[in-house]
Amino acid sequence: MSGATTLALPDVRRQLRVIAILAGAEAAVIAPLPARQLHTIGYFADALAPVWGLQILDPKLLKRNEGPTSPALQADIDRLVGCGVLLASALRHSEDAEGLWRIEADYALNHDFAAPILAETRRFERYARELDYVREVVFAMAGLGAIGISEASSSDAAYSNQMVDSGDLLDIAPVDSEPNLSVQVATRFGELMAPEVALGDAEKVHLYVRELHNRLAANRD
Amino acid sequence: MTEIPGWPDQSLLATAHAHFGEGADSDLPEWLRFLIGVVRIIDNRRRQATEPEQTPAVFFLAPKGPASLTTSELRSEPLLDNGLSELGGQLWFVGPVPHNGVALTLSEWPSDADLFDRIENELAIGDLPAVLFDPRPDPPQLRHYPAGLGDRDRVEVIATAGQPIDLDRVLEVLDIAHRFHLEKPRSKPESARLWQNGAKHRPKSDAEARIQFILRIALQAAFPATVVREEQPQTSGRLDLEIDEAVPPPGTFIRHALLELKVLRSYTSTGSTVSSSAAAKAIEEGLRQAIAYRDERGTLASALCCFDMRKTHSGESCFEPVTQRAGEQKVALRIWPLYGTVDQFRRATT
Repeated sequence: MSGATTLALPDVRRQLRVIAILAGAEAAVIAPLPARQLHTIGYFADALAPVWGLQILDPKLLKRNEGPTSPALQADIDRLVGCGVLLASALRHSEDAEGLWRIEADYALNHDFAAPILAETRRFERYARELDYVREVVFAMAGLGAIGISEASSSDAAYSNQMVDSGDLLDIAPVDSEPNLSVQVATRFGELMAPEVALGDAEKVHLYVRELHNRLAANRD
Repeated sequence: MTEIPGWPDQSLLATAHAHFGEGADSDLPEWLRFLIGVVRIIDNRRRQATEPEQTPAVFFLAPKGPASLTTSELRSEPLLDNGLSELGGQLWFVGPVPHNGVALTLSEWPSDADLFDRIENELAIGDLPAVLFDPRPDPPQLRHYPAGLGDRDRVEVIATAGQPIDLDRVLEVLDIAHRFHLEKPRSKPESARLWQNGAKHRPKSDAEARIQFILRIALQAAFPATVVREEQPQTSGRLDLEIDEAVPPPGTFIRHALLELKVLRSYTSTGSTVSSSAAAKAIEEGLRQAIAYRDERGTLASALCCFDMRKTHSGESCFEPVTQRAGEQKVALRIWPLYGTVDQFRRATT
């Protein structure tokens, strides 16, 4: 009996994004990734996607004090662990800022399953570009360090928007509106450097994350 | 767009200058990103260290660390590129964008011979791309081993930040790139294939872009402390390749060299004949661009670089109509022949 299920394309793309994040984390020497960091990087991979002309997969999320947590992303992670594509380790319980207990783990790729998925995805130019983009986001965020990654959303232009309170819905892809603030700031780098230098999309992402790093450091001082 | 509230332009510009070029290498091969990243680590360390490094260090492109060592033998070093970590006396294992790394600390730095022996034999990592930082000579040296320390003869001594870059050196890099990557046809990787049909002298329709990318890689590898940019827009057009470097104070750049590239053809990729006057027009246009873009951007040096993919190569005689003007304007002129088949190459060079 076949146990195969057909997933909607957005679900597949979100799961590919999780795999891409963890592949990038290995290359960046920050794997395995704790759940908190995985969710945060997933958030930034979404929020900054328009800088590369890519689609935001999870535009609406609940703003929380402890940082971005996407139920859809966690469901993807759990499904990939169940399939054996991801390996979960260091299982533990933790209490979040709202007093809720959750299971935490560190995640890494099971290469036996993940490598063929990534290889096959790279054959399609459109999805290869998404993999490249996510890899670049991970590389940029690896420069923040573990604590910096966990705290990054507190300095993020879109997530820290004071018009949205903790517990409210944050929309990082409002329809018929300007791009989210994070995209605007990343894009602003390009405007400021022109015409002297035409920045590439990857540069804008890296510079935006470096700016977050500066803000996090200033907040700690 | 105007300044974004809460995100002052001054702060963004300072960040852009301090981290000039980060991410600009996203489309380059991993071994080259690794080299660029290690050079950046060394440069940041030089600026942050209270005392100069005394002991060598070796960096390996191996984000998981060597298979011959357990994780307990390796020490994690996050934020390796912030300049605050002592580098010497350690073997570093990093990824292609080395913000972080893991290190094996050597209790005593061995002799050079023992170091190489230990890396090749005991650790069995002689095939990993590596950069050896040696602070002992004056000035300190960076040695790039693209095929690993096991291939000791294949080594390049790398220019670090702030080293003068002259046009002669740039053109020397192009000479080498031509000899190894352009002169004779290649079948791999696909991006290096320049001929639609080499036997019939038909270049690929995007031969310029392919050559430009190959040269960008060669130049970036030779000058990893700079940023080699392609296709930068200008009011008068779009320049092909430029070698830039950020220097103090913030907002200041040195533009070392600007290269205008032209491919000379006898046929298009589909076999249509290209008129014999097209080459002369391309050369005239290329010289005009090399002068205009250099003057607009304040670049220190510029060159018109032609890649002759015609059925019959002319050598430098094709420059005769523009030689005087190029000399007056101090634009170097170079032409390199490309052969569509190995037989064509052999007939021409024997």
